[in-house]
Amino acid sequence: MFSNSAPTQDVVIAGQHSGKPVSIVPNAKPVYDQLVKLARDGNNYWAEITVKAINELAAGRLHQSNIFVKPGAVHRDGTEEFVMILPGCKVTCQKLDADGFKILHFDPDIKYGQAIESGAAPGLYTATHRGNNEWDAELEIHGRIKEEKNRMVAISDSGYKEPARAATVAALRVAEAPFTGGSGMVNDDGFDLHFTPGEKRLGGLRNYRNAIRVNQYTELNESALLLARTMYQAKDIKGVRWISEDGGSGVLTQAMTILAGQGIQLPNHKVFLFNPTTSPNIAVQAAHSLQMKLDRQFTKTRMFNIVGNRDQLEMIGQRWSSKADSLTTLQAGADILAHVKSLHGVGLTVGSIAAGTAAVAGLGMTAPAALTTFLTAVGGAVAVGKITVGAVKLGNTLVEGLLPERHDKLKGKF
Amino acid sequence: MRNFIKYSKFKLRDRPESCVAVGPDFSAAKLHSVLLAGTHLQFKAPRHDPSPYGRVRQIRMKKAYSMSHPRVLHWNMQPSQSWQSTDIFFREWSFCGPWFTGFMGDTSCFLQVIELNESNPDVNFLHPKALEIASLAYLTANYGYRVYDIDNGRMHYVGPLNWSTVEQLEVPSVQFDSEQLMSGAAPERHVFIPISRSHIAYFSIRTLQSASGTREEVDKKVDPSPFIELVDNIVGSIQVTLSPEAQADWDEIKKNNPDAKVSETCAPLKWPADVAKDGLTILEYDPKRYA
Repeated sequence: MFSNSAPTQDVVIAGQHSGKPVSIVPNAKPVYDQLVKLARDGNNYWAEITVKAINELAAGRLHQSNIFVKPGAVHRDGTEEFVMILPGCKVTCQKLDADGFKILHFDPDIKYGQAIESGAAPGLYTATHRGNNEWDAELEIHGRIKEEKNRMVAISDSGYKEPARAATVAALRVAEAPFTGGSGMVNDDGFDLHFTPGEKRLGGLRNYRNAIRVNQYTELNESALLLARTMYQAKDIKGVRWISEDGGSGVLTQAMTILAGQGIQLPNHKVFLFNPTTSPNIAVQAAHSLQMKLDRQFTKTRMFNIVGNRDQLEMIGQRWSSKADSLTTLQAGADILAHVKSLHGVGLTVGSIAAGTAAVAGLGMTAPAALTTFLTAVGGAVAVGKITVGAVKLGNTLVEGLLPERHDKLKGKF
Repeated sequence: MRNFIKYSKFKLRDRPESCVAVGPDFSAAKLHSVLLAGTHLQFKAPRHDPSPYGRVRQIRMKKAYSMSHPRVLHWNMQPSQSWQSTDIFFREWSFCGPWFTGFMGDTSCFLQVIELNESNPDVNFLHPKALEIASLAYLTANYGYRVYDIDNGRMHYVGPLNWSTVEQLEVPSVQFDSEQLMSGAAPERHVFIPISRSHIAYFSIRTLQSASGTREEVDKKVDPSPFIELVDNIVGSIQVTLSPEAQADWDEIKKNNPDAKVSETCAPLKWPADVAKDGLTILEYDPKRYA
């Protein structure tokens, strides 16, 4: 009664009148208030997501099957702890016995807005062609795509330092999707870019566990939530085409899964994965549940992309059996055959690559350069020998599989 | 040779907290020359050495251009579509950190010849004032509409900065920088040199340091000075000999207005702004104007 110290009683911040009460420990309250203020400001969409997610806890709409909710310790009294990874904020909650939630710990980054602006956090960019395959990338303040029919949106892999460079690479790969109309079209129209910063590339063999269980890939949660919001807000724009590039497939898969979990459908949108380094089968399932349109060709996978090729057969099966997809039995059969044939190609060439790699291994640093020379030489020798034109194509496929950047570069020369 | 090994694109180690990257050796750069509508333009540029990201190929210069098939800039880049361009030359140079710290950024040089979409007989770009107006309008046409936050007028780019002329040239010229405001500066040098009444040779030399974060963080991680040095070297090597007709025009302008010269300073333009269809008049920004 006479004490000046702050009240130690938990403060209820959501679900006061209906739903499940969500309370917060008093020392986390000021941070929460600051976040709410940012959210109401209207220019901080990331804070809106975070505050909404906390409120949805109260509504009972968020539960632990959501992919951005990570289960934590189960206590002896039956209460459970879990962690939500939200944009600019990590929230540790406790599910109480009496059907309520208590926020135990709040780990926010109030400067997240500045991080987005400086390109240190995921964001949505508008990519504009400057000429000669060079691109500008400009942050979109509200994280919304351009309101244009058939707008293209690239979801880039991580590992690029600046969005402009991610756009330069993505532009070439977006052009490879069956429905974008090639480089000329992409360069003229420009596209939107969902950029995920980071040091390392996403998925692939190095992150095999995460790559195949993509919805448990915690590092992508932030980026995926932001993308999910972008996708949701674009739901009324017709014909939006979401195209992921390499590890961007992971972010796209999670974003689609988040939307599917909220019961949202995007029947007017299309999706394509360029060389996915996370499981394409999980992506197809998520796309199906959103009722998205898939082209006959859903992925373009390079030859040595183990993760991307791994569950292609399962994926074809999934597409064939799903009502949401138009893949006929005949088409599924043809796709399976095509896939098996490409695997066969791998078997044939593994020997020659082993030899090639052995030959250049001694050269150390210059290996990639020497390997191209070697591969070109293989192609050349075969052509001279007039065996088959197919072998030249093989050389090309090898370069594409082993040295994708170089392939992009070479491709333009023919 | 030592530099070739010490500063390579191979990245085997973590990046240092700050680094001075090394780019191409300008002392070995070759002299390139071209005839543009009769005007002889030459400059030095090192060999093409593109960044490891994407397929950016060089544009090899022919001996002469008549500019008979200019291309209208796409509305996505220039909403007013008031200028046309002919691509002449493009090269990119990588800068790398020492001892396998890898790629640290690049500078690219794009030379175009620009002209108005609706040719205007009253305008002579050899006149310093006309050149000045044209350069500011062109910059505005390409960057003036790129608004970040319409509510408080925050822009993505700022320019012109460091306004000056190209010192060694007899003919009028303008050079200045534009910078990005959000993350790294991504400075771009713009050089405008008239080559005839209606044509301007336009160099756009952009630097992109390979680092993320605010501008201070980027400049700390990758020192911008070697990039600026290369840009200054290239601009410093430009030489122009006007075609006889253009020279006659220029002589007449000099005779009639002995004081005509490019302004000594110019403050950054107040953006957002649009450019009218004539390519020269700067108008108030209206997002619906060219939508």
